[in-house]
Amino acid sequence: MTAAVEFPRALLREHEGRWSLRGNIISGGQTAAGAFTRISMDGGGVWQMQYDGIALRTREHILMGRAVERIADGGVTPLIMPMCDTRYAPVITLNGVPVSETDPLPHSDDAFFSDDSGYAQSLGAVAFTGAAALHATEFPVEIVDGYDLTLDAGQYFSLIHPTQGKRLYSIIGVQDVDDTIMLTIRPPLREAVDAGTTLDFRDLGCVMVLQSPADMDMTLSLRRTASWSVKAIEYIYPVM
Amino acid sequence: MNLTADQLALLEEDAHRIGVFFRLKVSPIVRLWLGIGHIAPGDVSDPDGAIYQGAGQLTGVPDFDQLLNAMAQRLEFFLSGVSAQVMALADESSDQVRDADVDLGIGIMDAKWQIVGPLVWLWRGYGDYLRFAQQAADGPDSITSRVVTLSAGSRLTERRRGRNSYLTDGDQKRRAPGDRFCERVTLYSNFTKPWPILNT
Repeated sequence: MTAAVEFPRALLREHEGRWSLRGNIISGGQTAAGAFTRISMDGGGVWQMQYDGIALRTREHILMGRAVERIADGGVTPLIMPMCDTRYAPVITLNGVPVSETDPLPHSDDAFFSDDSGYAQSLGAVAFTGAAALHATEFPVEIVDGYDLTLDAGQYFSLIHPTQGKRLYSIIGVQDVDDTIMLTIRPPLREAVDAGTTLDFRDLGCVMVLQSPADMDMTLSLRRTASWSVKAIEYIYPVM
Repeated sequence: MNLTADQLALLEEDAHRIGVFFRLKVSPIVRLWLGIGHIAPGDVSDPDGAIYQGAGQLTGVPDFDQLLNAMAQRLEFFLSGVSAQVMALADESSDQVRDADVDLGIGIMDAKWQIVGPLVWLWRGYGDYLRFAQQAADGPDSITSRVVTLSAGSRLTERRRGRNSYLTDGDQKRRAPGDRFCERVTLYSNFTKPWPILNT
């Protein structure tokens, strides 16, 4: 796996956005009695996303959009497609104070980038209490000491896997049993996870490729601005 | 085919979640399944942690019948995608495919997409040949799709019609690994051996 380039968050200016889990379902058809059997063979589905009406208004927007379109290379190069879901993400507090991000991390020699920024890092408020197997859909997590938040079905989180890179998961069930929180998710875990791995509810995204070569075409209006659309589908790195 | 009580209970429900698994015993063994992502079903016939690759690499599995006083079938499996493993299978391993074991089975999954019980291997056969097909793109906006087709038969497929083979070194070693009986056959091509003339 090579590190995938992230679609610029500065271009998350979509008017409409959709993230769907697509599958492969076979149906025998509806009978007169109303009974019908459906067979699903997709193993939990694959993410497909679409942003429409991305408003590109400035010179920087247009140039950035063009550059990422060339990097996507018609669907050959995987990109990390980001998702902004802050409105529905859990509100995280640390020692009673709402927090949205941690202090930026410096380089190993304590130096920051030239604009005094550092590396972003997950808040680390929720962590796996044990190892979770490849393709697991249910596992226990814990809220790290000092943090407080409420997990609900419908929320998204991301994990960064060693081989599969950044992946998006959706919570479909939360059970609180004896101070242990059991999360049920979709799609199944794309890679096994070690105990202590933290869930990221802020910096969401998934490694994806364009579904077809024309799915990131930019058409300029009056040679100045663009209302851009992007459509991509999850990419799974092969294992050897 | 024996199903456990848990598997039978799942099959009695209205919605079925089934994984279709394919295994071709070349070196390295190709393990694919029809779902998305990778999965380690933990089958007893695989080593611990063996992973079946998904994400559309195995795109087509044909219908097949169990043989009951019927005609033996030949099956064709469709492998697509440009992953290194599929291309290596089609390129470097193509000479290993003939007579390699081909297994096709299902895994019955519960509502949490976890495999219940062991994999059920429904069809076991032998690889025959690989065929490439490339569907050209209509234009730059569409994608050229490439498909590798594996033709496989069972022991009964060619019961009536003998399989062609030759007295070449390759075929002989396939029939009897390590046998050097035919290794000099190529030296005798385009070679005329005059019959000894007896002096009378």
